[in-house]
Amino acid sequence: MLLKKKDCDINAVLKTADFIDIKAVLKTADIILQIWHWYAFLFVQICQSVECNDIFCLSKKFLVMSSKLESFSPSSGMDACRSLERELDKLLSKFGGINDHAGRVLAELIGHVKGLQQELNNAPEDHVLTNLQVNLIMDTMKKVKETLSRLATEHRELHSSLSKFGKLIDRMFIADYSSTSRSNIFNTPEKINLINKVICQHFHRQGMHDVAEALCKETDMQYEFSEKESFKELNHILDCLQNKDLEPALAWATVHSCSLEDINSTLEFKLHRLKYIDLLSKGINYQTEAISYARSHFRKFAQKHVSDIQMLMGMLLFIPNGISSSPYSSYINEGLWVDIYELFTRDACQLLGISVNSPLATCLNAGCAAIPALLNIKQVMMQRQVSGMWNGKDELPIEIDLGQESKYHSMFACPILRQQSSKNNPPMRLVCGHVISRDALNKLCSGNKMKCPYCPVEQSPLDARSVIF
Amino acid sequence: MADIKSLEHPTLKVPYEILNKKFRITQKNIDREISHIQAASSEIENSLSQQNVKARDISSLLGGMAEKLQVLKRKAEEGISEELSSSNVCKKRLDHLKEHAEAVTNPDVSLGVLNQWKRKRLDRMVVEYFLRNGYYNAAITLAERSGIKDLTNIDIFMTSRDVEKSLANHETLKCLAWCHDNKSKLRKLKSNMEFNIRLQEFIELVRVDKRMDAIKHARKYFGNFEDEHLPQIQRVMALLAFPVDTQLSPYKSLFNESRWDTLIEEFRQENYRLFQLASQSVFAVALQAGLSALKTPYPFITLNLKHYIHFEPILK
Repeated sequence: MLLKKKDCDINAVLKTADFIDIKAVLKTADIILQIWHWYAFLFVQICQSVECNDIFCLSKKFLVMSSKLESFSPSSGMDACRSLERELDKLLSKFGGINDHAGRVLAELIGHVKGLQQELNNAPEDHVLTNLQVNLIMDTMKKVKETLSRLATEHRELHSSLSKFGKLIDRMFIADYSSTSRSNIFNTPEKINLINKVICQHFHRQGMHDVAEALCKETDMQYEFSEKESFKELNHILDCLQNKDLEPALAWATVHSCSLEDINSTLEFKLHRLKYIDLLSKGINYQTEAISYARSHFRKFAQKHVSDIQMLMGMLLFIPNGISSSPYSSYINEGLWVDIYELFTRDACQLLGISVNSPLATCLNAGCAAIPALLNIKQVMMQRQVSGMWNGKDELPIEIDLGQESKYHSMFACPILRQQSSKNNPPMRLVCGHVISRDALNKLCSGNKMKCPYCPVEQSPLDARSVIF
Repeated sequence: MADIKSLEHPTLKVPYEILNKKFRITQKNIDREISHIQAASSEIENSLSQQNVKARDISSLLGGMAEKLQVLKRKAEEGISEELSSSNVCKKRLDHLKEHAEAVTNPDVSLGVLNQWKRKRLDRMVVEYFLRNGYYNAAITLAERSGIKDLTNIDIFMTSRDVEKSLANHETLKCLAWCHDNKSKLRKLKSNMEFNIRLQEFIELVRVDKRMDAIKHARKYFGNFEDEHLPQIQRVMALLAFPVDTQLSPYKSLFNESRWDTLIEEFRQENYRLFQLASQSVFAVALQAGLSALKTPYPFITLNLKHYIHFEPILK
């Protein structure tokens, strides 16, 4: 109920956004206050910024907000999967059912017809059928016809379930995912070549040299992977980890023990821990080995990981009955191996000074996170009939939050022109320490003198310097 | 809106279309076999309605019928097991997507699981990119390396590879067979593929100066397309009046060899449409969105240290 109401109100506000009806804005803010304080906070912020009377900016913010509100709608990925799975299971059981049924019915019919044939074959050479026999065969024929047409109908009726499943896919997933992107921007040979190189680099990094080579061969491309050496060892260790072989990783961690400690990594301890747990899970025969392993390796970590070590020692009590039925059961799951793989990748990459993900992976993962938001905003824009807002084709309509991991450097927006800085319009630091964009600087110049717009220090524009974040 | 909802439509839709196609083929086969048997049983009934029917005659008729029933049984079983295996492909992909939904919603699942899922997704996207660009060997190598063969649409691209190859060799047989295979669906999509192939065949006949054969060809095939493509047919027919090396404008381009490449491109697009694949790959869309969303504008310019100033916030 409330959700619906909120939506209508935002609609109303948006329609009036052209002439900024502050009252409407505030009223909506009031209603929303009852729903989500956080959004109310945003609203109030917007109302305060109204004085800059930037209608465009205001309505943009509205759009972002209402798209955020809409993302609260209950149909998540999990729900979609569940309902699809339900339909699919139904379909599978129906196909299975008709498979058994058809086989049985047809076998029966064949047996019946063959039986009749046998009977007739056994009759003397020029035996003429009796009335009884004629009737019997007539009946059989009738039965064959009926059964078969029923079988055909039964199979045909499956179509409704089938198409229901297809329609559900269309409803749950978005078919037109490309509506927010421009087509053909990767079409030129140079760009394809560039993409192929990036892909090549990615697979070399992953240690999948055969894939990279296959690609090079098919595209007649020369690509020399320059960082082969640093990845070779890494990939070997990771492969071993995937096959649950800890030794190479342990050896690596021991060699780099000091540097790992410098970056405050828990990798070495976690590797030893996993090794120990692995020994324990092998059963009682390895008990002594596990204890001696703990003695020789855990001492080093006693200070940092004392509670972990206590827990690990506690496990020893439960070996005879199996740890999986003990309070410690949650410590021996498959997830540990996945975690150690991730941890090793992250820490080793940090130590070697290389990025954890290849540029390709980073970019594609960012894209996958961005597309839902873009589709969302597009849909909202269509509903509000303001799709024209997305006309500045070099700019996304909203800022997309990709999480802390994907933030690489700060951006500068000029406080005078309210523009994002670019290569041609970099931020400039004035003598007084204030920073404005170069375009603003040029506009503020009169002759070869200018006044800082913040503190009226007079200065020469030539003294301003470009700032790089 | 979740990631998977906006990007994974083709992952499920393609196997669904395959399943749908198999369903229709099975239905057709069953119907055909059943009608044979119905005819046979009517024949038996007819013979029975006469007087003094001989046991021998009926017995042989019954034998024929039993054989036909066997054929029906075999075909039905084959067809349904195909349907089952296609549904299982759908199921596998759905399970894969569910892993993601699970990892996102369930806080107990560690980040590592999600990262591994993302790596798998990356491989899937790259496989699709390879396939769409025709790097088939690379695609197969990658799919096998990462064990994601069931999650990618390699099979449908493999059939299209054969057709593309034959078109590149200026052969039309395989493409026509493909058109025939997907006739009803193509008609629904209002595809011009078959017409364009027939047109090209006509042009090739004119090119080798078999003009009489060309006319025969036109009589045989162009009739079906008269309603929609009359102007085009008229133009192509005019080729009969021109030499192969004509310089006259629309006719010169009709003789152009590059029309084959256009046909290949058209075939690709039709094949995508047939399986409800979008014209752009998920890879391209995601890459584009990623490049825009990452704060790539104005990043690392070549640093000239003389002018380099660290930005320090002004505290006053």
